[in-house]
Amino acid sequence: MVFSGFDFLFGFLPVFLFFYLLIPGQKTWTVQIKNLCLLVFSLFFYAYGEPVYVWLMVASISVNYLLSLGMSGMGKTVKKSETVKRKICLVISCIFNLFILVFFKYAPFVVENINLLTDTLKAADIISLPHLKVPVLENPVGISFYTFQILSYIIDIYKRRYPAERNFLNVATYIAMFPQLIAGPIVKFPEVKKKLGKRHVTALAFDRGVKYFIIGLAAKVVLANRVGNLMYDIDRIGSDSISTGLAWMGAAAYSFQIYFDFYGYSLMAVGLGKMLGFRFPENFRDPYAARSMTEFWRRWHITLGRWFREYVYIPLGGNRNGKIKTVRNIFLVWLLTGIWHGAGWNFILWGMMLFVILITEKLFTGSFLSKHKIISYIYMFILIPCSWVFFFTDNTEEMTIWFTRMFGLISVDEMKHISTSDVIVYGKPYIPVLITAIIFCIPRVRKYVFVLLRKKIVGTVMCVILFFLSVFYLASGLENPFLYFRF
Amino acid sequence: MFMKKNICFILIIIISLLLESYGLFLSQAGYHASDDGKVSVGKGIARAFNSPNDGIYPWNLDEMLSEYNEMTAGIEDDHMEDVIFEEEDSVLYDDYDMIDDISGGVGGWENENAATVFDLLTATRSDDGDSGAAVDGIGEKIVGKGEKEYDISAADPSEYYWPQPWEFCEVDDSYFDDAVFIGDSRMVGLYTYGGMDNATFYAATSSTVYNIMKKRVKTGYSGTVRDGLTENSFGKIYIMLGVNELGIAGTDYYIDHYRTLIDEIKELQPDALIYIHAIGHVRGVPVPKNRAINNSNINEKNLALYKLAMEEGAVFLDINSVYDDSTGNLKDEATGDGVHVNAKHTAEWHEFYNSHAVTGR
Repeated sequence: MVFSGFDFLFGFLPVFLFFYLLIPGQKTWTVQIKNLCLLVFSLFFYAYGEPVYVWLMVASISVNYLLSLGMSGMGKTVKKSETVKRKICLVISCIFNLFILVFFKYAPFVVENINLLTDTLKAADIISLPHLKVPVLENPVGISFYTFQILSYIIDIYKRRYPAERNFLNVATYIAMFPQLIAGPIVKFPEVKKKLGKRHVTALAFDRGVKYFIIGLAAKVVLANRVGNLMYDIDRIGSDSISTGLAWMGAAAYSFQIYFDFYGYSLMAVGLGKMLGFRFPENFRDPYAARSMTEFWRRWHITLGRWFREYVYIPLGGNRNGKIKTVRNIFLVWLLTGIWHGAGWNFILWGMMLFVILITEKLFTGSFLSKHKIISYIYMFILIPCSWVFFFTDNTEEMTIWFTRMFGLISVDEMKHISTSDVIVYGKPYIPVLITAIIFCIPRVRKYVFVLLRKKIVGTVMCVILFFLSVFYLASGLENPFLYFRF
Repeated sequence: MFMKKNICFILIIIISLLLESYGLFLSQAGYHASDDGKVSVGKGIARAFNSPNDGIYPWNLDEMLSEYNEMTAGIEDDHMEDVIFEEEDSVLYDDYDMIDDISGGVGGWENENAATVFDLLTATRSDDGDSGAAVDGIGEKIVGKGEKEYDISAADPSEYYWPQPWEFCEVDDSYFDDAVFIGDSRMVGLYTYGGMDNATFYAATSSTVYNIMKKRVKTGYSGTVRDGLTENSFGKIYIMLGVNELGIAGTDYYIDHYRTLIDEIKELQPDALIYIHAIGHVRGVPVPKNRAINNSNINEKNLALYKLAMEEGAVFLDINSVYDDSTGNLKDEATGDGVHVNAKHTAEWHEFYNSHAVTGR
């Protein structure tokens, strides 16, 4: 189930809220019922899309809960047996979590590459090994997110940041809560711990939550889905037949699509959290206003960056052990970030490319960029779409095609089937949406939207209009040509 | 307190939820034209946002239904053609005189054996008994005035064989000087990448037979298709529509509206030769997200389109002979999204027009 679907908006959400809000939250035992309600509905939410894998998630939560109990104990006991026990629990938990993640998400990719290696070895007459087979399993939705959340919980407990939560219901609710389950911010346990114990949904919080949700929905449906249609059109022409202008428009459109889609979804998650009485961390802070790649990645998918910093970069030593080790640490972080985003060589290449850019900035260009505003904006203006090209093309051929088109390195032969007027025929309808998207990337505008929604009348009217607009676009399938035949 | 402060918002939410439930309830009835041409209730709130004159709104249907129902009252499905032909004859009798006057009675066919369009219009049917219809629903022959007989029941879609009372010949690009190409986004693709610069294109995305005349042209003309056809005069009119109607209504409803469209075009451009395209196939592997976009749906409509073309005296073009693979689906290398031909492969389309022209008009 997706937040921007009618079955969620007009089916699941009203029914859930009806039950959830009826249950009071002030007393500790009533909060337990509230948590139970939330958990049950969240499991239903997940099972709606993944009727089989929901049990995987339940199993994962249970196993990790038991292991966390094995590690609990805040006291500074230095008993050897206890230390060993804690270490074993940590190791088992990490192996278990990473195993299910790798198995379900990366196994086909890994096996494919092993087979390629085997083939090369066979062709070179070195050794003849049989092909590995792996059952093609569907990737369970949200597994990257909830696994990382569980890992953050386990590692924090091992580091004695807080004691393990003894209440299974609370742990399960923390991990399986539907607002942040599928693509939501990676929430750390202390951020919700207090609320799990006792929470009260105030009218103001609920109101804000609804408004945040609507803004997120509009960002996704009205902006992201629509601007993303340009990529459909480019697909239709064939990416090797686009002119330079259209290539840049396409890359820009994709950049806006991925931003507003993800930002919209995160906003919806935050809004839902508010409606439920929680405060989720923000995931985006005007990334397209950043002046360097380093700054960009502090503003984009903040909770993921924070996870990698806390659980990979800092444990490895961060930047405290000299330049070489720092570079090594950053390399590992970006290799893992690339892998996390998807099982494909293009993602790893993307991560590595970002690593190169970041290291360059750290060592050479960083201070220059921070002093020269306009140059830094031009630099990012070119760099961001180019970095996303690595992200959305999944083979080197496509990648080369896009880059040659974007930088005008087209052979005379290829020019034959490129039409110079394609920017007008295919691009012109998207100019209004692109301009709107650019406007909402400006931090001042975006902040003003949030200022507006705090106002009683203007805020409500604005949100109602945005809501109806979103529903209209969803219903008439204007954002998706295949849904309602807009060929 | 909460209620009092936000009562408006809550009321709007409740009303919108009620409306949406009503819309969902309506959509259970679905939107389809069953084969007897009767169309049922609209498809929920989503359709409410379409243009009121799209032909999809319930209030238009009553008139159309009553006409159609009158025409077909008491006639069983097998003999639908009787009704249609009678209408055609009575209307065209007048036209025949007029057309004869305009063309000065001079034939000017380059190919003597080819029947003229007029032959077709005044054709009589010959009942040769059971001709062993190769194609379902088409079960008769048509005999042209010049004694050139062609058997429409012999049409074979899988061989791209559609018997017509004329021969195709090769032409060069100057043939298209007075040609206009009308259609949906596939036509826009031809406009951008086909290299047919001397022809006129009246194409727009999301076009259907229901809305094409009112559509604002996106291919170099500012105005609607109807404006363009009123203001200018053309010798050949190429029409390609159909992929956007796949999920909307049944074949008969579609053909009905296509017929109305052609009649209107004939009124505006009485001298033009009309070419009707078969709907192009889509990729075999299901095109994303919509079950109605499939080739069996398309093939069904193409048969009916062929028959319509023969009745209306239009040339029938089957572009699928260019782009199909051996299994009768759009070939993979020619498409990116499974529905449209990509830019690299549009040249073959241009060549197809060069080799499938009817001259002498």
